[in-house]
Amino acid sequence: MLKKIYITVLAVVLITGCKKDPVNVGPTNSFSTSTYPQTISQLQTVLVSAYANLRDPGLFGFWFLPKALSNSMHTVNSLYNGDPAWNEMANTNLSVGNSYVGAAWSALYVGVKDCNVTLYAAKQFLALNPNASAADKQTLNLITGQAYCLRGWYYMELECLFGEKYMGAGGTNGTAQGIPIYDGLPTDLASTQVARSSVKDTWAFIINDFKQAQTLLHGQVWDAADEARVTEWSAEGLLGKAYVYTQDWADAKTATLDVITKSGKSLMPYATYHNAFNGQNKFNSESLFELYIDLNTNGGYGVYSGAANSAAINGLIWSPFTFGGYNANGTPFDGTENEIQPLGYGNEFFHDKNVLRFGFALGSAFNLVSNPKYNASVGPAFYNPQMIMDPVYMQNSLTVRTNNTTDPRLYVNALQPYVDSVQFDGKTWGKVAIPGQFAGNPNVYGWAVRKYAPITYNEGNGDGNPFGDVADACDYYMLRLADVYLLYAEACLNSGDNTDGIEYLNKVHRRAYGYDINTPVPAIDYTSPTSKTVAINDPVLGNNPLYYERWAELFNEGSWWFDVCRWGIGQSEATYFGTAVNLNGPIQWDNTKSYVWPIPQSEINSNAKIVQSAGYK
Amino acid sequence: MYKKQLLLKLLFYPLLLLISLSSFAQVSITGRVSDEKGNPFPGVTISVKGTTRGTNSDVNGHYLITAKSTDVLVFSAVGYTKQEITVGDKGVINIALSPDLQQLNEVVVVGYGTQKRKDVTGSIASVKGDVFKDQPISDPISALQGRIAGVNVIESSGQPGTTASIVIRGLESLNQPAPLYIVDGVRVNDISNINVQDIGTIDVLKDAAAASIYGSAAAGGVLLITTKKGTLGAPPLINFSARYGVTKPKLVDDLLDRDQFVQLQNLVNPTFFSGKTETDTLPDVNWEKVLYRNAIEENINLSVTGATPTANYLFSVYDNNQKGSFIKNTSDIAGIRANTDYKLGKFITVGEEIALSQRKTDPILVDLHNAPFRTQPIIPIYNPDGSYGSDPKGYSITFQGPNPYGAVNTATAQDYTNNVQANVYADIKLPFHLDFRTTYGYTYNVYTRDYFQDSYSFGAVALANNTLYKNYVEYNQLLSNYVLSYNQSFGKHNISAIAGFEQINGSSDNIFSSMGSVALDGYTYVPSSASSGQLGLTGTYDPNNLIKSQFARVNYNFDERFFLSGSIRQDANFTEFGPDKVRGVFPGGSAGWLISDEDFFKPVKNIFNTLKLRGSYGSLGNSNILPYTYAANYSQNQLSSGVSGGTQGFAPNQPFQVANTLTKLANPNVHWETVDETNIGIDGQTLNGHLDFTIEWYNKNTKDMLYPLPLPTSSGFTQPYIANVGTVNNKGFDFSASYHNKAGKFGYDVSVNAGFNQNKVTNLSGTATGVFYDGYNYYNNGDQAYNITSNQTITETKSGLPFGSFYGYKVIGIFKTDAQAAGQKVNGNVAQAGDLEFADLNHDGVIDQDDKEVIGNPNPKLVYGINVHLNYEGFDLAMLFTGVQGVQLYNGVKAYEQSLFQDGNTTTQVFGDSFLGTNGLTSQPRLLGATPNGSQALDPNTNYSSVNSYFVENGSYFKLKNIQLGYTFSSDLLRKINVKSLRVFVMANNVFTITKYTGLDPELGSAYTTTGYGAATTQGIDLVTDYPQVRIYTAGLDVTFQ
Repeated sequence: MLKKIYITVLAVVLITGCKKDPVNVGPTNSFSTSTYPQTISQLQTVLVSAYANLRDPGLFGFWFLPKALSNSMHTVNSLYNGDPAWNEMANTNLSVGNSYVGAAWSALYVGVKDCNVTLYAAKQFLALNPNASAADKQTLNLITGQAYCLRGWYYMELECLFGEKYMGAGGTNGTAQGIPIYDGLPTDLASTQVARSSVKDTWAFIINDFKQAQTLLHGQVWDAADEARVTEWSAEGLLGKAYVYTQDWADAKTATLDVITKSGKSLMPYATYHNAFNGQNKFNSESLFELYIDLNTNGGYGVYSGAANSAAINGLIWSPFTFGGYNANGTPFDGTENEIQPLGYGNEFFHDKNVLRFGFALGSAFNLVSNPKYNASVGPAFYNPQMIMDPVYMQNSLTVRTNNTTDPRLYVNALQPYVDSVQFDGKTWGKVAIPGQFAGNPNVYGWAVRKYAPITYNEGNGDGNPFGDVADACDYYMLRLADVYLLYAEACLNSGDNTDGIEYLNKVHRRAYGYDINTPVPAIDYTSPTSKTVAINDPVLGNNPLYYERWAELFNEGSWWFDVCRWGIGQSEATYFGTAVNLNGPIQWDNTKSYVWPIPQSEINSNAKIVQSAGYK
Repeated sequence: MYKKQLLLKLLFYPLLLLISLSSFAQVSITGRVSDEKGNPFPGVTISVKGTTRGTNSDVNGHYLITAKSTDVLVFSAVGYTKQEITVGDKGVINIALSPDLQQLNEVVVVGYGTQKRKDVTGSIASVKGDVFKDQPISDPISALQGRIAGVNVIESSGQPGTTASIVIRGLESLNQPAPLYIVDGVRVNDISNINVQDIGTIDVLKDAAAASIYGSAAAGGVLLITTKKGTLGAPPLINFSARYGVTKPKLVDDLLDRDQFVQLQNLVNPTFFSGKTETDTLPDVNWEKVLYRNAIEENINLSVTGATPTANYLFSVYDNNQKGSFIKNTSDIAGIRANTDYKLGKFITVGEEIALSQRKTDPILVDLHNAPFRTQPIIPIYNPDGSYGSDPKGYSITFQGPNPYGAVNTATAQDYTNNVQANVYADIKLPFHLDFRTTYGYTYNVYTRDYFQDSYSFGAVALANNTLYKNYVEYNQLLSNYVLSYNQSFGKHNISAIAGFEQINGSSDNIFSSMGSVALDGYTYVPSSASSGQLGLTGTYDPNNLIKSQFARVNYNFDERFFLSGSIRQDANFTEFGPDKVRGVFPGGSAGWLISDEDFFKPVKNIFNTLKLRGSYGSLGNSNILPYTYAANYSQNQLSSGVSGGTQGFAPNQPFQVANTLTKLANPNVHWETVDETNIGIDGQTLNGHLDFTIEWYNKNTKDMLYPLPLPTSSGFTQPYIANVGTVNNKGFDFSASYHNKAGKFGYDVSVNAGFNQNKVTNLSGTATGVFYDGYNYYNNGDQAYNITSNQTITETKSGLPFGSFYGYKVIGIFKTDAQAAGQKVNGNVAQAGDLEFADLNHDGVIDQDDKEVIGNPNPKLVYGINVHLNYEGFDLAMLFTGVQGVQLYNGVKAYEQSLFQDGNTTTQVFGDSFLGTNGLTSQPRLLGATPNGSQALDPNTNYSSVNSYFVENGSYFKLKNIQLGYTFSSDLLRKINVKSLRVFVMANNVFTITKYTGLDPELGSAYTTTGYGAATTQGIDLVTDYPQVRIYTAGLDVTFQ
């Protein structure tokens, strides 16, 4: 009996055993802060997050341009009215709960955090490698330099959207509320309760970040595999922008001219420019800071892909409609607006007022006439339509184009229905269609967005994307030389140097018309800061080449919103555009709030020190 | 002759010696034992009083025992009143045992042991398996509904395979832990795989003193489940039961049909159908009928129980199959169990409980708002060309959602959960009144999912490539404990004590994989040429899970009148808390006084048969958080949309570079949450044992609540910061009483239980802002923006308020005239007749954030249950009523029913809105109003699109949860075919509800919360995303063979 007891007890004790108290238990699927990063390449991966975060759906991954800024800037008009936050953007009248405001705020601050993590990790790398090689130390400088540049960019974007006021020359408005500034990682709950810095301190911090980046990145030229990394010229260009935005004209001129003369960058020729926004001509001679976007999502749905990638899906929203396509049973679309498809969601089209602002003088009305080439034996098809655009209107439209009687940038930015074509499956061309509900409406242009839109494949279902994925094709310009030219021009015009100011406006203007940028072209050149522009019936941009050029050149790239706000022309813009399809009645611009995005409710709810901006209290 | 006698003596003497060394003149006594219904009663222990001699009744209830005429025979069986009969000159003693009404003698399972009910000084309630055995439930939690005072069980979903939620004595934490489940002495994580029909009893440890032996894991209460075993000495019994039920979903049943839809759109969006005359040729689809159905619930169970002199056993096998009321949604669980005890010798017993089960589920893969609200009746199921239906062409109305039928049918998945729960134990009697017991428990579960998502194109929404996902999640856990116990009496002093050590270590291992563009539909990876770039693979392995505990308890009583008990436990959890905070200590103490056994009580003893006073105080811990929150680590970067941001490209045709970052703020100081509870109770019995009652008062304080604090988004850390914050108080009364009696052949048993609770946050120190907001009127769980009250929270939690108080505008009435309304402005819009009048707290004429106030309390003040059991001859009737009083609900569904949200559908209730079409002022607020620029807008006064008290309703209800009518056939005939008993029954579940609540069902739990914790802050919100509740009609039979 005793034996049985012993055997039983012993067996149980042996099987289960008693574990020793472990020390330093940590998750098995991540790297500990105490031992990481050990190597410079591990440190590199930390920096990569600060770049990848630019593709957050709240930023350039999805919503920031097509749903938020493009509606606020009225570059587009929304067919879709199903999203209150989106409608508010078109109405330039936001509620505190606006989801795109919240998403941008959150994603921009995640970007700041990513940069701060990089700076923190760089210190830890040095602590773990007290004898790091000189080469590693130089790489480390480049890493921290990039982190400073990106942090400056994130903060500048935040300040421009959420700061209560733009700072004027001599620091006016400097005491208004800026944004919370984190100069490092918070360590506990108390250190996450950060009040808003003043506008002045915020800009000082941003400018300092760009300066540090400029110093640390000095002389670095990235090889072909790293083209999308920021350089000292990205930093200095952004520095120049920060000076312009804060009306420090002298410093602005120095910084921007430095980039213009020393960066080795040049404005690309028009032929390249025309095709520089739809996936071709990446990292061209004009690009100073570019977000690399890849068509391959590794099988997933854009930024919602379950696999890591480098994708974005803005194009889903502003995708053009086309007559081209086939029904599920294989029959071709019949060539009428009853059978059209968007190359994505088809939520937005080019706001009609922009057609006029680019100087397109033909009216919107045209007739459909019988197609003389219609082949009855083939039957109605998008390649054999029964009705076509009135040939007279067609010819006039083409003449406008070839004679440059309209700003050629219209055709960089938009597609004309019945005239332009897109490839809906990567290979087959179909004419662009007017959105269905405006078919035959003589009062509507109904053009499609071209810049940053899918025009050679169907982004909605991946048809024609070589990877079959739902993804954008194009890179996004965070800064390009034409912008710096215009910033330099603005600084000159505001500091009494009209000659240089006008000349740099003209350089950008000449490129758009295909001329040599350095040779005067009297036919189109501006001669004074109030020269007439092509903008039709536009009391503001029609007589202001600086405003017009920044609008036309940087159309739909996101920065026009900041120009509207810092110049204080929101009311006139609202008046010019009037309304939008997704609004009931006129745009409700409100001078007391519309220039500023509200601090999101989630921040108010979790930060005891934050104070909401005036206008939203 | 002498020789013969000698021979007899030689032969019998040892035998007699064995039976009784001291007696002679024995006679044989035979007889038959029957139960209260006259059926043979096997397994009854018949012993001779004052000796160790005894026997058991056989399969027919017969027994044989020898005794002297002066001996007293004692007939005893668990759950039956002991009977003593003096032998006298009777040679045959037939006897009928009746069920024991003296609850004080029942055995109660406590932590690491058992106690007599009489000795219990903490708050412990018990439910016998028989009462819910045949109810249409498939989890043990549902079994407790309406049966225990202070235990609130909520069945808010009719989804197959879901378990009910349980709250014991009020929500005590912001991250309310589930109760601790102890099955046959072993802690398990999941009890949804336990066969309800295997359960013998469920004991619930309600107060801290009773539960403190389980220390850190017991803050949510403890459920001790004891599975059945054979009765010692009983012959094998085979029980077979089967039931089949039809389930009917409770649905919003007044969706607009085509013509109504067009009629409404002509008012709200006149451009959609303007100038179109042929709208009556559009499709007219009732999407509810397409997506929902009547379904079934069926269950079969077969068990064998029995015992031999050295062993007793239970073997069972069961299958429970539930079809969901949503199409393509089922859950089927099948399992087997073997429980055995072996007596290896006089001093050692070993045994095991082994349960294996497999659940197969066809899960729901779409958002439920798709039915019924996100549909349009004018979209056909299929287009003429055979593709899934999309918006009719030629109209400007657009639909951005998927075709719901297509969405369901282009995705197929099967989930399997395989469970092994195997325990072995050895119990060794040692010298010096010591007993050593060691238990070894092994838990193993594997969850697999095969999920094939086909490509689709539903008009606006399309998916180009198909994808196959295969997931594998494995968890295993080893539990071992060693318990030394001591039991001894010194005169009237009785002591029992235990001391023990327990260790739990577990590991998890999982793989999530996917392949895009698979060449063959199905669950096998068959690559196409496009697949190589569309592979996904993640996986983790974590063997660190370790909890080590020591515990001890002493029970002392004097003369079975005065009782004292004290226990203490130390737990060390190595993955939840940082190196300095690993350990927590949790003491408990209680005392009782059986006043009815005092001499001075004798005068009233015939009024109160028993009366016991008791009180307790104890501490419990809660560690219900994700592991490793005390450390921050680098992991692959995630965008707010997911892992897409785990890499970034830096140039065309270059590999994407991996991105790592820190995503959370570590809190090395995070430590145990503690619950301290005082409990004072009275147990009594009166009316000659026919009425039992218990009254208890408790006061429970929770401090250092573990909660994921939302950090300011400006910190860049999107993951919450887990910290210890605030205190909350719960106090209240539990009351229960049961009356049981017989009137001739009519037997009845009525029990009532009620739990009164008051919940109040007493402070929220440790937080940044002193207040939490949560709860959204989701259209799609998790999407805070795309819903009718976009980005607006519904609840507020702060000091002085109950958890998750509804917070919004208070509605004073509906404006009758524009003049009346002119003084109210919302979002710059002046109110009009038919708009809701909101309380303007700061009297500034503008309704905004500053005018929000508390508008409701979702914590019920009273939860009660009534159980009625009647029997007459072969008939039995059981009814279970449940009810809740003093609670408010937020009827989020109403906003979608009386309004029109985006591109979806609504109900005919919308036509009752004020000033819609030809309507004048009605009782429903207006939907369409004017904006300052004169245009017509949807809901400018935010009647439907703000959080306001129009949606707060009285949530009190009284439900007939279950009614069951059975008939047990008389046994004589059946016995000939070896049937011991046969019962047939019919029943209905969720029969009726009496309530003022206007939504589908007021029985609501906690709604979805983005915090992922607790859901104390999202109670009582009725959402369109909820799975519909069901009514079940069932018939079944229960037959026992011998």
